[in-house]
Amino acid sequence: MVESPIPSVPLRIAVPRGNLFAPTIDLLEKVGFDVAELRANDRKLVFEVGEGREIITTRPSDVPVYVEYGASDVGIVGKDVLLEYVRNVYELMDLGYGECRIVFAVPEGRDPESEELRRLGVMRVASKYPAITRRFFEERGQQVEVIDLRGSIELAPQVDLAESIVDLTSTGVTLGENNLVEKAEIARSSARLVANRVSWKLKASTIDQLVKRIKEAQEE
Amino acid sequence: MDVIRIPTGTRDVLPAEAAETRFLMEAVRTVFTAFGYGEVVTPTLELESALEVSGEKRFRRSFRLFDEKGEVMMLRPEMTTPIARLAATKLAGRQPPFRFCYFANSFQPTRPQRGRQSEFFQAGLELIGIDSPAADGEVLAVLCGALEACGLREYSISLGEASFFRALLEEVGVSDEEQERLFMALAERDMVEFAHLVGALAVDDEDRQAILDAVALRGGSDVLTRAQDLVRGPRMEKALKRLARTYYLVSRYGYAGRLLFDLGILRGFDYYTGIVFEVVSGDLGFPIGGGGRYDNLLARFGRDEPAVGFALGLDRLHIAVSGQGGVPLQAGPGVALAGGMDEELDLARELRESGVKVLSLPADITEQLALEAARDAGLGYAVLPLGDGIRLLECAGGQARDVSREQLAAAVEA
Repeated sequence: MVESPIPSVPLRIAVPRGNLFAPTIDLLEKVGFDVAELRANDRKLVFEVGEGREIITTRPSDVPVYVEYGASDVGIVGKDVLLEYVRNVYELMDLGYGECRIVFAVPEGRDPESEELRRLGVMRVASKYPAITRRFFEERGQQVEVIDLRGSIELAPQVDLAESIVDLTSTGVTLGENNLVEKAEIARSSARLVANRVSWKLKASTIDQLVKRIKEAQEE
Repeated sequence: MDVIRIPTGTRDVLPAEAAETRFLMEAVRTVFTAFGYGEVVTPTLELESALEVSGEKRFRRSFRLFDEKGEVMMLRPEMTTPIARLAATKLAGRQPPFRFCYFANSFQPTRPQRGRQSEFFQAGLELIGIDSPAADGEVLAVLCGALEACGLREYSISLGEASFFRALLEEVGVSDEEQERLFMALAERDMVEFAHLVGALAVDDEDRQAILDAVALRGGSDVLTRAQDLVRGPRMEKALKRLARTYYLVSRYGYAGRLLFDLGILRGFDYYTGIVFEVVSGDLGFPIGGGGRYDNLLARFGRDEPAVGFALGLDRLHIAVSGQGGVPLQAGPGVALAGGMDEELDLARELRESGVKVLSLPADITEQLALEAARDAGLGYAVLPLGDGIRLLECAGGQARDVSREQLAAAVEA
């Protein structure tokens, strides 16, 4: 029997399926949750982990939505998602894993920004982060056309869908393989613990306890 | 034909919901009135130049339009600033305190959600001219009283002190510019960025920890004791003493159990200087309302008076009450009467005079349709005159019985 990691107030935790899933489950196990079923069953969405506590698994970009509306008290989500879909949630701690960067990259040997400027055109930027991309170029006072894609962003410049991209990179290998070079770092991302603004008040000690346990687990 | 639309963030409200919202508004009004708050009505449109006196950054995003002279007008984004304007200008010759309340719609562009619209209806009040825990206590007590009059059973008031945290930052020597950045991170609820900024401050480790502890300090009245460890200098001491006194007074009103303390609380508006609070209910992921003390706002309009107040979102209150057993509407007796607007017009009038609500139906309606109409309208009975007698159909069980015309009023009131 796993010892109860936090006081037994009902608490729902939203966990993202995808890249952050495995390290998140590892962390929750270290904190003291019984995660055997989460590892075993990838179709189930709701997992009872005892004493009224529950883990739900969702698409990564949906985590802050569940948390904002209070359908989940806390959640784990990448900073990139928080930057893209600005949501009214407490961002409580940097969990330190899932580190990557959001960068602006262009095909090697080309300078699409000045090329487009000279021809009085507008540079096209492919990205699955249209809001982050728009904000980045707005702050630079640059007009761009953002092309909103869902995956394999590196493909866009190769088939002349866009002159540049804004995308996640952790090692830079994918960029290099597709002859892209980084021009600017827009943001750094890693997994974050977020909380609903009402839960943060009403379940204060439970959430504080959870944060404390996570810190201890990370130091182990 | 094109689809006929309404603006994003607005909505139409149908009678059943409107009746419930109206009931809540009246319940709130009864409590406001009992404490002597008088209703004020201000223009829906204000001049931009007038509202901008407040210096409130949030107003930059408000809806604007032009009058015939080209002057820029703003759809009021909230009611506190218009009332501050009114108190500072219209009432220049009169002695405070002023106790004002309002029931009004305001406008802020937003991405619409349940309980969040660009046009929203609020019930609120402002107590102008008294700077004391007594005033803060009264306002909090009226707030609790109003919520309970609405039938809201489960709720808490999350209470903090804006000056406590500000004084802490100043006492440990955080520059204005750094403070601004810290407040921005807090307003965005980005505690990671906040911790990062605090980590970069040129303060000693104990002070650094105090800043981090202050924003995380929340819970029951034990927070007032725990906060003692963070006190640095007389301003923080004073802020905490006031908060304790306010807590004592609220407990005298019988609402101590409703207060939760949250010393890191920040509401979006810049103008709060003392207590700051939000109404939260476990059923809802967002606050039902909130408010606080704003002692510098009136001075911007040329009259230096302290003030404290709050606003409740009536839509949100409605959602919260509906989730806790529903709005306690008392419908009163009512019938749907066949022929009520022609053949049985006299009977309809007599019933109304005796206090029975009467919805008129066509004289030749069938029993089945009459019953459906009565049910739809939330009335107790369908009434079909049959010669000298009356056929009475009860909505609840569907039973029919025949009564005389004389017996009718008594039968439906029972």
